[in-house]
Amino acid sequence: MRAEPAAVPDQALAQALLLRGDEQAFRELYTRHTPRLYQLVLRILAGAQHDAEDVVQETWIRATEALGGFRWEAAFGTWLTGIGINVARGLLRKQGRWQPLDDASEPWRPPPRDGERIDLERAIALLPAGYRSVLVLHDVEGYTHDEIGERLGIAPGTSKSQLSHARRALRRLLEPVKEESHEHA
Amino acid sequence: MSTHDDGMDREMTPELRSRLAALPRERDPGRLLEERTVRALRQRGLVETPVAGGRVRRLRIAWLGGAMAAGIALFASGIAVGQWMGTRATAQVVQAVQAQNDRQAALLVQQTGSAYVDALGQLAAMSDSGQAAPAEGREVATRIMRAAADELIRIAPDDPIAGAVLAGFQRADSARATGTGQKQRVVWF
Repeated sequence: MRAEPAAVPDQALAQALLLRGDEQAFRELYTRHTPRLYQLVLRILAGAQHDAEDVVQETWIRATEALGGFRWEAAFGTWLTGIGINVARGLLRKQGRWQPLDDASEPWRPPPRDGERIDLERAIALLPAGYRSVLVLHDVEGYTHDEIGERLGIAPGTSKSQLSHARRALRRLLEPVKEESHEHA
Repeated sequence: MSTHDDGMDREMTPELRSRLAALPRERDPGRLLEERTVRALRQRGLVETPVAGGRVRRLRIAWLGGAMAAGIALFASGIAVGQWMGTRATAQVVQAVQAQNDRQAALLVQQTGSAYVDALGQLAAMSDSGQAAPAEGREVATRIMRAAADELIRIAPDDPIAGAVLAGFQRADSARATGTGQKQRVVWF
């Protein structure tokens, strides 16, 4: 049995990209990290594929430009994802879909639905952008509230309360319509 | 990143938690996005266009075309070289045969010339021993020498020795014709 050749570390590839503009090194980094980045921003953007592609491209451009300043204190993928979240948030804000996250705002309640059952991805996509981002980062990606606070520019406590609202709204979206109508009655 | 670290699990049923955990974490956006991103980076000078040989994918079609052209060229040059080699071999054989013929002709001349000189030597020995040299033998020797000079002058028209020999024969012929041959004794050899 032949042993697999050891993968070139991200840092070596990043050095090749930074010093020589090595396209192959970039493609290798891209292949390693883009699928995760793309799935994350696609969820944050409620499944808008074209927007997600634009965000991924812009993320790589910004990351490549800022590569010289990256200190490698975190994993490359984590750093890249942070940039991606910022770019996605910027796009949502530009589209007027990002509302400021604060504890004082009224919890969002899903509008009544007319009998359709929706799957989990669709339910997540129906959440407001702020709820959706906190829920995806915490419950899907496993970020802590401190990390979410840092990424989204909010306090960890705000992240907690937003998550609580997001989960409640998600459950309502996933509950059978019958129960929903009883609760509203 | 860490595992779920909050104590607000009131809103989360085990079923919902497991469904969220089962959601895919990765998705392939397709190759078009990669190419688009690389192009954008190139335009900004953040990546360099690779030199020839560095990018197999982009040059694959050109490479295949080049390989086919090279194959055809190699095949054609193989035929040409083969033909040239054949022609060259034939020329060498002709030259070798020609050289062989020349050598054989020279050897034949040398062998017959030596035999001729040997025969004349025997004729001279008979004369030296007091025996009269046979007139017939001397006449034959003279005719052969003249015939040899005729052939030699055909091979080399400017050859002075052959020319001198033939000139001597012509003078002898003239003298014989004018009747002075009795008075002039020409010693040929």
